Amino acid sequence: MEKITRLALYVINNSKKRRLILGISAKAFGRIIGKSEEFVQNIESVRRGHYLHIDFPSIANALDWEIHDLLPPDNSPYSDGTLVDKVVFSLNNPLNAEEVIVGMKEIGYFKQEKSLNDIFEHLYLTENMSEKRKVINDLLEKLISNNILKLNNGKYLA
Amino acid sequence: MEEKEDNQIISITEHLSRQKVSRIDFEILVNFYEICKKKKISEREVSFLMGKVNKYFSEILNPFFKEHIKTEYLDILPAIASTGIRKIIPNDISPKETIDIRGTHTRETDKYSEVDYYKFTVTYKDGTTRNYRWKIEVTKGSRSKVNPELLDILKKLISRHYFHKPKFALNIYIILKSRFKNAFSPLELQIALSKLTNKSVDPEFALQEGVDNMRITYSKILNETEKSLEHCQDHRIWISRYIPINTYEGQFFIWYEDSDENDKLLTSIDGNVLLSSSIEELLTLLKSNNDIFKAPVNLEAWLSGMEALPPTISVTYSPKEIIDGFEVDSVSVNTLADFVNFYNLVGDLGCQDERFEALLEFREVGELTKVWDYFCNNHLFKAKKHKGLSFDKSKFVADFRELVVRFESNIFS
Repeated sequence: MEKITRLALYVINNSKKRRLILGISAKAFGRIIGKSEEFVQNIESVRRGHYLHIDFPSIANALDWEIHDLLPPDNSPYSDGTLVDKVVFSLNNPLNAEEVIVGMKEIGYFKQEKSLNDIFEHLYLTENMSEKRKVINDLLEKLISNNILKLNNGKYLA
Repeated sequence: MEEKEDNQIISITEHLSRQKVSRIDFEILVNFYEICKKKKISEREVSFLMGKVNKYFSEILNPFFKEHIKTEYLDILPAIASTGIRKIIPNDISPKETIDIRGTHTRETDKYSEVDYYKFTVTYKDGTTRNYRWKIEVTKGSRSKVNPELLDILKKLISRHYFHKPKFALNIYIILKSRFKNAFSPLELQIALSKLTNKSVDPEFALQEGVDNMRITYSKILNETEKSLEHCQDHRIWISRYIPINTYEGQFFIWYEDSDENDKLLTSIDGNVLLSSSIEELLTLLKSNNDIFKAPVNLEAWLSGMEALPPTISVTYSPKEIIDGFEVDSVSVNTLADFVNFYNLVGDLGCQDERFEALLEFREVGELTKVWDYFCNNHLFKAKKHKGLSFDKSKFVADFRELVVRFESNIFS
């Protein structure tokens, strides 16, 4: 597995989570920060690559954030520079998926009813992404049973 | 150029400028440098903690020079400056914002020092300006006195195998700070490490410099035995020896960490512990493996590495020595440790296979567990209040003998 610095991994995962919450495609995100879709997909994959700090202002701007929102809090443990495995944020991971759906709720996405297809479209989950779609589906059921979301005539609501 | 022969100071001034400098690059450098100056961390110390040569950071500080702090090194700046990353990376920079820099660089050198003076003005995109004055002084040829207390601490770390794997200077510095607060400066650490990397140092404490991801590391120069044990540690497979209670002849076996993360004794397919009267015979058996045992995952890599290394016994279990140790008036810590190692070995065997499960109840007897608990709480985990060991010694020895008999009947069946 590729190895990168803890800070670089934090920025990649934090920005990817925010991008998914806001429903920005990798292509659109790339266009805003002045890069290609392939560049963004590469950075957000386990392949080699990370964002340079020179791009932090563009990335923050694209995500409607300040630069500091990209970064870990000041009380984070110190790093001696030892590289870590590039374990990227992914909708295949139920915990990551939950962070995204809960984040979507927090920005008001579920103030209006949303169908499952609406949610899949928001997250750019095409039909061939069956594994991720299943994770989202299962997660929504869990959030309904925990009263974090409501189900009304087959549509999801906060 | 101005030359003052009486003071032998040579002074050179250049008028320089740079356009379209990345503002975020510049602000990161300025923020980090200002914090380091406030905390009295010198440029040389920053370079050292970054794992670079002494002049590295001084060169980056040259505002007219295109070098900047690389993204990969942002990760370590908070640890160097004992601050948060948000104090270093600015919050209010626009995308692709640039600045212009104009000013002078004066270098003054004499036989004692070299001083760089940077006086420059930064012009921002909105037309506003800000002036900076930096002075970077490097003293030449000063005698470096080693801090004996720090040297002692490093030698203890070496003895405890801390340097068996390469370490960054920053890692060592973080460890020292966590244990000794600000007792030692980065410069003192650099001088002490320099002493230990000197060829004339005692081989027992000799360190070498290496490079990892373009940063300097420090590691112990391992002898062949140490390399062998390190190789075993890396692959989680160790050669152990057991000396039965009624003999002096040891039997060799393999103790390893299985893929389920449990420690086990290597057994043959029929379930018996794989024992051999010599290490060479044991290794030959492992290399041939005509399906007589289930090979640990790392075995092939471990065997391959062992070709070039002297096979080294990691632990010897000798119940007779343990009993002798408990029969003296004052039981030594080494005896306690040997007992605990054996106790744990029995537990490993008992847990790894149903056929050995019965062994576990022979461990769970009063005096044995009392001694085990005592060692773990007072020597392994360093309890705040050090209590004395109080137990029935005769009962302990009797229970221990029983445990040994049961263990040997299982492994020698």
